[in-house]
Amino acid sequence: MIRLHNISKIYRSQGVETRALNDVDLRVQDGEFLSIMGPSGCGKTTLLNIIGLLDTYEEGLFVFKEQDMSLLDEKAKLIIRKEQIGFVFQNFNLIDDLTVAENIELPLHYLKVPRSERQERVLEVLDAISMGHRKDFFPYQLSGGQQQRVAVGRAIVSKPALILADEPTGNLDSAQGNDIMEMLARLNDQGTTVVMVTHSPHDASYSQRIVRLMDGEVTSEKKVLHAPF
Amino acid sequence: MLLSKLPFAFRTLYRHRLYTLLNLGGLAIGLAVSIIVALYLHGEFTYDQHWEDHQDIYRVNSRFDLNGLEELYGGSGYGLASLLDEHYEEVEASTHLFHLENSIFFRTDSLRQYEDRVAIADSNFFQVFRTPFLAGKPDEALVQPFSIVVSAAFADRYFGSTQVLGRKINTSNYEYTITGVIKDLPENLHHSFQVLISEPPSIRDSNDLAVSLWQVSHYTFVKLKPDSDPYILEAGFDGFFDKYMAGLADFVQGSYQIELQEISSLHFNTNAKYDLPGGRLAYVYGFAGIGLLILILAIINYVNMATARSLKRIREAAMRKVLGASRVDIRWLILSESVLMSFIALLLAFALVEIFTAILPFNNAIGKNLYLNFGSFPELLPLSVILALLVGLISGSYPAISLARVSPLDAFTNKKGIQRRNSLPRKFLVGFQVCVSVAVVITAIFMYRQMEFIKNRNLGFNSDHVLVINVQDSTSIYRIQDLATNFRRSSLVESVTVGASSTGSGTFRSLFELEEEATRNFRRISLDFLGVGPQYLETMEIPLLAGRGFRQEDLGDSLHPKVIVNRALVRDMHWERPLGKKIRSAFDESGDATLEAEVIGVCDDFNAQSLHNRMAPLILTLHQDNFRVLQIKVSPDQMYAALDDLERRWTAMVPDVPFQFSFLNKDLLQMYDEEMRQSRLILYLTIIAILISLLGFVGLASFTTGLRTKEIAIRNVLGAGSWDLVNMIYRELVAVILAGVIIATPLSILITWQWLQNFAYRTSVEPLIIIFTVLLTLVIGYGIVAIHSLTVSRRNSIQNLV
Repeated sequence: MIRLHNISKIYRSQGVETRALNDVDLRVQDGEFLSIMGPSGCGKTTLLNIIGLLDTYEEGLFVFKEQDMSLLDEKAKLIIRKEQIGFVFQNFNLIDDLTVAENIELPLHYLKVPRSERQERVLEVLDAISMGHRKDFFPYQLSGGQQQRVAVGRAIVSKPALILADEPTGNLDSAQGNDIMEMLARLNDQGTTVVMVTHSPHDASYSQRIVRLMDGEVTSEKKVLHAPF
Repeated sequence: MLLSKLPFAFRTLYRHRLYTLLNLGGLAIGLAVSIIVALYLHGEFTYDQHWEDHQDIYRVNSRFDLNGLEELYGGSGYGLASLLDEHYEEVEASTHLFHLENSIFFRTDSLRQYEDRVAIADSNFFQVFRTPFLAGKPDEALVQPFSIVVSAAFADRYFGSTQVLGRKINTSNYEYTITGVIKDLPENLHHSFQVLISEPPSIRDSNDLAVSLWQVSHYTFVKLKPDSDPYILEAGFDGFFDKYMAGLADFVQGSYQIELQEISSLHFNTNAKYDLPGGRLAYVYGFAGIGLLILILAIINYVNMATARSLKRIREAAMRKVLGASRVDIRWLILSESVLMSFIALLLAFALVEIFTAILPFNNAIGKNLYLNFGSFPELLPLSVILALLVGLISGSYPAISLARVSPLDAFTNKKGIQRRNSLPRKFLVGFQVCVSVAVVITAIFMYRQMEFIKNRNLGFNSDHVLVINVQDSTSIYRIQDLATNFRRSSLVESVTVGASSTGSGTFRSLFELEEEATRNFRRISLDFLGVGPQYLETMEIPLLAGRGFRQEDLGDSLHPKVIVNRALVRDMHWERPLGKKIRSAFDESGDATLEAEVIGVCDDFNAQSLHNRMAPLILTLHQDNFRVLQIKVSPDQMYAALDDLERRWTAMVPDVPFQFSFLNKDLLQMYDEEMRQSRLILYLTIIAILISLLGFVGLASFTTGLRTKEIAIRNVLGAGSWDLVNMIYRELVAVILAGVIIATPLSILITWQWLQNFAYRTSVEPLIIIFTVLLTLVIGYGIVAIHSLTVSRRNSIQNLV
């Protein structure tokens, strides 16, 4: 599904060049659950943002579903993003003024899904994330774990092929964290590709493969042996 | 697109109630001011358009050329109307009108009252000015003498009904029969009336057309047949002139030409003499300009607040983009909020306008009668809707564009100081607000000072405790001297004088010949004169510098006319011995003076006119035929007793006419009504502008402190005191305030200086006031910043650091 070949991300500031990513090579198969790990500032999030079409790169090749991403303009990227990719952030990034149900419904708005179908899909997702009883709550009325569940719900409502999760349990306690990780694992079981950035070896153990980054370069890759306990 | 966003917009506005309330308040005030300005402009620019076929109706102005002096008059002579109708086939109908200057005393069994806006018209009036009759027939209503046509409101007031044909109503002198009741006319008529009286036969009989055509006594109107060119009448006037007027042309040594003026242009075009007061375009544009300025302030305010709040929405916008929202989606989202806000503000604005015009004495203050009426101003609703839409789009566009531009990546990582990026335009906008507010405040203070200056200025006479009685009916006029004598007998009255007009209300102008000191020749000059009576100088406490004032016995001595002159005239004529000098007037057809008067006294200069004019050379004459006004100085300690006594004496002598008086000092202030209205209007607008600008400044302060919440917390942890932080934030804003002030100061001085040119006597432009305003602005700014920064810095620092 994803092929990164010699991807480099370079920041230039006052004549100084900083390589956030340096010749990164990475492949992600359809239906795979991949974790990216590494110390702070190693380029994990930059890599995830490039995969999510939120950031650009200076060198290399990025192919998503057999399509060269460097050839696309912003509009085309926007379409791919809303149709194919779901995002889960560490700090949830829910919209305060919208209810749980409306937050989940939002991507479907931008996909111009008809109203009745939207409502159906939202109910399904609410059920899947066990938040049906809180559907009219606002984000500030929920716990961190519940907010992240809604964020996951929002990420999957459009049935994307790929979910990108950036430290999804970083702001949660361990019980809430496990809950979220199990949801992601379940999604992966159902065929959704998941790419996750994490510090936590425990979280990474839910994935099938772990890529380690150091100073913008891939230093190791290993498969995860299941099942975790 | 916009509609689908509305439910979200409603939610957002409801969730942020305080923000919504502040913003709504600002926008509603801005829109309300715009609606009031629109009502005002509509009234001003639709003068006389109420009449059917108004585009075919013209007033006939007179252009005289007498001895090389060309002058344009709004009026014309008696008889011109009917002769024009006979002479020109283009004329469909013609009429003439004569406005009675004074209030007329009307009485029925149920009501006795003075009424303004009474006019005399000929029987053709309603053929030219067609208007719906509720009772009576337009063509017959003014045919018979002593007929009267009244407005519905008038009929209702006196009879409680509009079906009052044939009912009688009396004035002090005559009894009239009601022959017509018309629907109430709108207020915006140049020649406005509520009562029309038919021509008394005496007018028709006593006028010699050959003479009266050369006079200016009436207003003549013609209604031309559709598609007739008014210039045909003007160009072909020679034939008319030769036929009717040439006979006297040599005798008066002059020529005469008519000029047709469309009635809808009368209101703003009043440069003719003998015209009614009209509107001043400069005021209209000034008012419109200030209204627009307030609307702009309100829009800027919205932009400031919305941008300040958009800081908190950067993440929301970014997240929406991540989820697939395009820039257009984000723009519409923000615009839908501002448009919705604007429409809610419009509803509030209508309510505000209703409160101001119907409940508060706003109309009194500005001397207008504005009210919300979509029936008489059908364009108002669509215009308001368009305005609200525009205001919504304009005010929302800047936050919409800046939020739509946010890159999700930058928003999540706060790269490139994204929050600070839009602070420069905001500073500019707030600077503009400060500039407008300071300019308005300085201007308002100067206007107020000037009005106080006028109120307190020594006019050269003492207007305190002087009662003015305007005598209008023939009985009282006939007995005015007796009334004066009777009043003098009261022990509570200090002195009484009779005159042609009350002091300070203006003078008349005429040609005089004055004897020169050295050569004893006579010099012909145009001078102001004032007809006064005995005891004038004593009553008004005008100092007598030489000679004597008028005495009672001078009245009978018409063979030896006497005059008093003021100090300015003595100075201008370089008279060393003014007493005994001769002044001639009343010139006959050969240009010789027929009357010669002797100067018997010199008085000090006083303001016989309003303070718009300088004290000029003045002649006081004694001419009892024109006496209409009693001025009575009463004992200051026993004012009420004096009033009772005067009323008793009045009623005993003229029981049919009610005792009506005014105080001279109050009357004098009325001369500055227009300026008072302006300064009151400026005061209101100042309050509004300050209110909106304060809101804007609160927005900027919260924006700036909001940006630096984390910095404030860090500095706090490191040991900075609360006031250190206030000063830190203030330093960033003080430049904005100063820039506004620096631009505002010369601007306001310029405006004030222009306005002061209306007055001959004016206050100085005091630098202290400007310095005070500037300091006050800086202090208020500091106060607002202090409140915001202290709130942030006294919050738990750790909370802001997380």
